[in-house]
Amino acid sequence: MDLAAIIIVGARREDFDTAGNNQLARPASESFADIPLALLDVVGKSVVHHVADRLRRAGVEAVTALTAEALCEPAALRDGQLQPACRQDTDIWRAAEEAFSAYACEGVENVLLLRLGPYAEFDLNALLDFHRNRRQNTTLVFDQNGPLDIAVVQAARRNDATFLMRNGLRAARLPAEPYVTQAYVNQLQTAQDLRRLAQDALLMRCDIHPHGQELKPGVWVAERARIHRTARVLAPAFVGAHAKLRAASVVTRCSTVEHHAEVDCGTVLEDTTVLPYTYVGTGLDAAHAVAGFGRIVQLRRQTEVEIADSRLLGTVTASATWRTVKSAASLAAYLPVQAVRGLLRGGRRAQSAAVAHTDAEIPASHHGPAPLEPTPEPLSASNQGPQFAGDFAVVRRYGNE
Amino acid sequence: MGTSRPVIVKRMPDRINLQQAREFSREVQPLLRSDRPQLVFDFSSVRRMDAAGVDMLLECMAEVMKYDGDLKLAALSPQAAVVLELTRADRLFEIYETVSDAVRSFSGFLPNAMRKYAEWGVAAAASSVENGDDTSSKIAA
Repeated sequence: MDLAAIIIVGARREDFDTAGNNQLARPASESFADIPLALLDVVGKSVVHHVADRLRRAGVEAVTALTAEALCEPAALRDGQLQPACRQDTDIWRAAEEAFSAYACEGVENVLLLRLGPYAEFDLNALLDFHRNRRQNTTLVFDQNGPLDIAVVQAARRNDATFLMRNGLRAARLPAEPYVTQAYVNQLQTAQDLRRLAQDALLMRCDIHPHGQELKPGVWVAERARIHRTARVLAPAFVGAHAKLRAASVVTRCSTVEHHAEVDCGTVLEDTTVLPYTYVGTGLDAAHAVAGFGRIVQLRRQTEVEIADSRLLGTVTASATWRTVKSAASLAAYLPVQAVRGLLRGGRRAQSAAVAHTDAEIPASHHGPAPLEPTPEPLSASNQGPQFAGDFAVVRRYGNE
Repeated sequence: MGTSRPVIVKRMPDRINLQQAREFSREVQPLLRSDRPQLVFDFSSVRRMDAAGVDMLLECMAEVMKYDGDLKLAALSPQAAVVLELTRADRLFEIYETVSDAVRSFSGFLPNAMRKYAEWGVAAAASSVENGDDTSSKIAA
């Protein structure tokens, strides 16, 4: 095996104290609702999946993704499943060192280390050529703004790798010339960066492709998404798998509705990301926002608000069985209500018909002056519909008048 | 043109959920039902607000309109602003940066846009007087 990759999600250099001990597995920024941005979905897949796919397309045979809470094997990535083990105190860098050692034992020549962190679309072959031509143990990747927390290390140089990882992929043990890339880079530090990445993906500014079928130019819809016939999806936009857009909802201006999200009737999403398993309530207007996990970040105000009211912003349960049971329950509750309403309407109709009949029996003198023209006769005996006089007036009620 | 009626400023609680909204609504009912009430709700301390809070605001607005009064919102905290924007309720209220701006807005007859034009006219007149130009002072007058 020529090249393997280890993707580290979360921890960064600022989280280390002076002795190099890991202080914080998950930084306060680079996260949304305590979840690393790299694990959140962008046009159908999480950023870490997009990175793994890109590496695989570039010819990397083995990819391991590590988060602060879990150790994810390549199989999990291939299946599109990222199942954290929920071990809060896992030392992510120690796990990375172990993964590096495992690859070294397997006979891998070079190991690519990436921390997400920043999303960068560097040319992997150019990086490897640079690394080999310079005959360096370690090559760090930079862009014009600084380090990108990406490095290539010779698998045989475990000490260099350990030093590198203990410095958050930002300092090499021996002086080495960095590889400077001019490619697309997104720092992925805030929710705004996540939104920008989704916009760039929809506008084809980066190498991320929406994970769905392009139904019409600029509109991608993933499998089993349900869009009501009165809902409008205006390009560019993305609707994820199993997502639901209810009646009269509008999704526009680079908005993305990720998988299993639900947008209720009449809601307008403009330049907004709705994260997976998020319910957006009825008649809302979300613009320039990232919504999910009971939170909404308003990007223009740069405000993150926790919304406890499930009528505004809720969470759709991840269990398919539970979702089915809830849908059945809501249908069971809906049908009797409609039946009662139908009965009441029928009663009202009968009542109004009775009133009309009583009015017809009142002598014409009681209605005011006699009409100037006689009421036209029915055209035929078979015409059973109500006949209105030519001077029939409609009175509407305004306020208290 | 001023007004002799008082402007009542009411500070909103820091959390507006169903229970708080009910309590607040009960508290302000007498104020809403006075003759042509002029109310300002101060949102500076609101940290959490949900749909019940928005419902309560709309009910208050409806009540105030019945009595030919007006209700204005002031000093919206970012959290309240986001919720009002999300529920489209921000379009239904006059919203001011500060409480004093909201209170002052009751004392003038002219709407804000017209007042800006008037201020602009006065400023133009002042500059023209300095320059010795007569036409601008006529416009301001």
